[in-house]
Amino acid sequence: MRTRGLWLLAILCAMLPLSGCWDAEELNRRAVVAGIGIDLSPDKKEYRVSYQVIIADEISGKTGRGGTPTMVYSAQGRSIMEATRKVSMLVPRLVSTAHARIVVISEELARQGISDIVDFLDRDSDIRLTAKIFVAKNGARAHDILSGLSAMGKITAYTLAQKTEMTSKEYGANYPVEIDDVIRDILVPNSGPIINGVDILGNVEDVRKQSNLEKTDALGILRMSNIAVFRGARLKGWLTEDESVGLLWVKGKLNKTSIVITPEEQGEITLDVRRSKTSTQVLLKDPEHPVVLVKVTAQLSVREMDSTIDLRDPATLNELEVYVNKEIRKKMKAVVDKAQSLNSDIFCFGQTLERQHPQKWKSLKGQWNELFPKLAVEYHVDSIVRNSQMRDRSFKYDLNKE
Amino acid sequence: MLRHLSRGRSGRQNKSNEQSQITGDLQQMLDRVVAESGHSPDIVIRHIKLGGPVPVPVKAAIVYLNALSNQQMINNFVIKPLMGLEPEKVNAYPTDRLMKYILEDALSLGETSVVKEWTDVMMAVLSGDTVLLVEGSDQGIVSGTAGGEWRAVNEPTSQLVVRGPKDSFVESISTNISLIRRRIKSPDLWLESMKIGSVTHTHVAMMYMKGCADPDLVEEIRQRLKAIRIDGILESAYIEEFIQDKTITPFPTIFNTERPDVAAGNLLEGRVVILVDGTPYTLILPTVFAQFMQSPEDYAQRFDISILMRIIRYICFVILLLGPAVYVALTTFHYEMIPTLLLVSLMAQREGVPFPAFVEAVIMEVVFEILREAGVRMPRAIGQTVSIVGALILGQAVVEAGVITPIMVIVVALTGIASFALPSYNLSIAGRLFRFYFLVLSGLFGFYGITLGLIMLIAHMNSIRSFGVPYLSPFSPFIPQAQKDAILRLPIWMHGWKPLMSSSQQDMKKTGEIKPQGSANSEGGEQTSSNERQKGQNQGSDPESRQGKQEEPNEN
Repeated sequence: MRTRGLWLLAILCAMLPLSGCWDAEELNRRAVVAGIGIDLSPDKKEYRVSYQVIIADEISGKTGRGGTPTMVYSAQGRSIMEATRKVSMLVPRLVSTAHARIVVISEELARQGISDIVDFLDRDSDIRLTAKIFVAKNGARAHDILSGLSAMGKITAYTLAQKTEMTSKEYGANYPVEIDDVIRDILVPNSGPIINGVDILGNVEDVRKQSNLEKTDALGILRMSNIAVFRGARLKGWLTEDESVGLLWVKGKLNKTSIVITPEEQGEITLDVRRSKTSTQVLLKDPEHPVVLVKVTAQLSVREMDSTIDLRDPATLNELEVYVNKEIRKKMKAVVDKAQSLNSDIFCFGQTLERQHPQKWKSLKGQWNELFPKLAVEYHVDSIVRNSQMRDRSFKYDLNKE
Repeated sequence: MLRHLSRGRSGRQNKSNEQSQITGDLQQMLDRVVAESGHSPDIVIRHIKLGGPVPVPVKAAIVYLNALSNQQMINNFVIKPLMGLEPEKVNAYPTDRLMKYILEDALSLGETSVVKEWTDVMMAVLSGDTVLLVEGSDQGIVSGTAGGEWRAVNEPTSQLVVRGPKDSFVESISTNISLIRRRIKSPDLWLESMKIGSVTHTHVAMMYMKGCADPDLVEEIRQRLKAIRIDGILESAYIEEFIQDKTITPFPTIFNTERPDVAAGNLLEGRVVILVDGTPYTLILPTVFAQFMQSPEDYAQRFDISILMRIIRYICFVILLLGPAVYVALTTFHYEMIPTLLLVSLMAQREGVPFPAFVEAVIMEVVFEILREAGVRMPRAIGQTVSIVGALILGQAVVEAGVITPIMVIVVALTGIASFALPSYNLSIAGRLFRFYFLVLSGLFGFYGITLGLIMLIAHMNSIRSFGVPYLSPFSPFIPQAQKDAILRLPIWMHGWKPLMSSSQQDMKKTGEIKPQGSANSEGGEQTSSNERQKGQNQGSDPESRQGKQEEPNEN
């Protein structure tokens, strides 16, 4: 019995070094970070890391003093970690990044390369790989993006993450890019990640003031912007809005978007894409010159038309579909051309080739660098108009008859 | 107190040991009764002259304890016939013949016996029976006139159901036996009785279904009961502590109930029921953990609903064990696991609260235990005040004063409610104890500690045996057939195999020794049951007389 007791005591003692009482931290001693921003310091030599810290008291506490719901603290350092440690000079509590939902990198820094940052984000045990990553566009600093206040949702970082999700569902010019995606894409040869841009609409100084929220027509607002194209770990260029949509078409990430077509003599017709599917195939008729075939099927619904055509007629619908196909092809072609000009295989055509023709890839791997810019891409778009919402003809239909 | 008393008593008994038999000297015997009972005024000695005033009346006396015996019975069935004895016969017969004559022809009582030992005389008197002593005879005649006041059969107070029988055991063991016998009318329902307690001589009865209960189990229980050496038994818990397998565990290994239907149901499942005089709580053994999660209500409601309720009870047990521990672990170790908006709200609450979450949890749990303890012991009228002060004033004030976070109050209240949702009070207090153990572990090591604690808890539960049956029985070892009535409660006609026990000995259908009263076809029996019950109530305390025939009382 006594030896058993001693054993038990020994086991209990063995438990102590295994665990982490040192991990224990009361909630009111933590500064929970909602977003991380990384800029270059003014002298371009150091990192300037900003943390958007949640001030819980101002959000749901009874003892709030009417301050802003978040605060941004930043510090400079030669590495991100050094800057993070220096933040403790400003923040009285333990900076805890497990709830950080966005990481913003300034364009300037992105053009220099982000591999150092990605390593930090990957290595850190607190930061989640599902945090969304952004590039601050149009000269805005990551710090400015984090300083913004938003009317809906008190934590700006989270509203920005929500904006990304919402707009990728509704418009399709962005899709949520997480740290994990970036790590994967950097590793793809002759390719690079694509990262959503974010910029500030309106006055940068106004965005960070609480008075910004006292107007119905906000002076400053954070806006999801177009997609940044990287090659390796460096930012190479920006897509336009149409190219961004085209990118989502090619990658098959599109949920919903709207397409405006102008058939001859019919006025504008707007269609919604309800469902779409993309498949990519690499054809090897000529072994040295692979051809990529992008097949897109889309189901659409007519949402708006300034026209008197009769949508009950299948022939009319077929005509519409031809215009839609053209429009989709145009957008896809635009983005492929742009990517080829930047020589960044953001669609991972190389990987498709590797998957479909592993033997061939071995020989083409070395030349992919030169092959990609000249790669022939064919588009097969097959769209079907599924419905026309509540009406088949426009209210103007009868007017036309008389 | 008890021990002191016993020393006094036993000392006196030793002194009179030299004369343990009844002698023919009536006056001496009566003096001895008076002396040994310390001139108690409640001992009644009624002198009777047998055979009337004719030539030489035979002197006799009856002795009884007026508080414990049924006066009317004594008057009508003992004194009256004794007074009416035929004088010729009284005078003609020698003493031995006279005693036989009185026993066989005069006393119109069902329960009578002849005693020769002096201790039997005293025991009979102290049990409420009437002892007849006759001048010149070395025998005494004991008439069963035990009576006295008992609480009537009422609704159960601690194990309530919405639908189901509404009677509960009382303090009288004979009433309790009758409540069970009324439910199981089978000669296979066997009863053994014995007296335990060197001072209290408490009547303890063991009931089981012959052919259904494992004979080895019955023998084991019999041996353990016989081995008990104690002055007094005042509650069945005394017996429980003597006979249970493992004392060093907070888990109850013997089930107790105040419901006759639960006792009867367990008898049919092959368990043994131990009844103790003086308490409405009977013991049921062997017991497994799953039994504490079952309520008699489960069999009265539809099976699908019962399954849901059982699952909810298991969830409640987990909440009871881990509620505050998980809260402490989450807030102090694993803040990343809390959904962000909840985290913000928690942080805002914790702002300005002086104590760490662990201390906060301990304070609130202790306060809760104090309130519960106060509420339980208070007279009913004051009990309400306690709950108002505790729940409303203290709960609200403590939050408003900023000493405790509101979420902590929610967590503690939730665990409190969860502890009340368990059908068995024993298990819920075991859970309350373990809650502190988990709280400390989580305060030290977070979820890591909780996981270790759970491993140790389950290992411990696996080590417990209740009379040889593993405590986690239908789950570990896993018995597929028994799952029909473990967490699930499939329709009764699907059961067939009786649940929970590990040995197939207990399967009534398989052995076929028992007639169908164990299975579901009770339709025929139910129609007559109401009549039977009325009859039974009129009969009063006769079940006790019946059990006397089956087994000689074993005295300690």
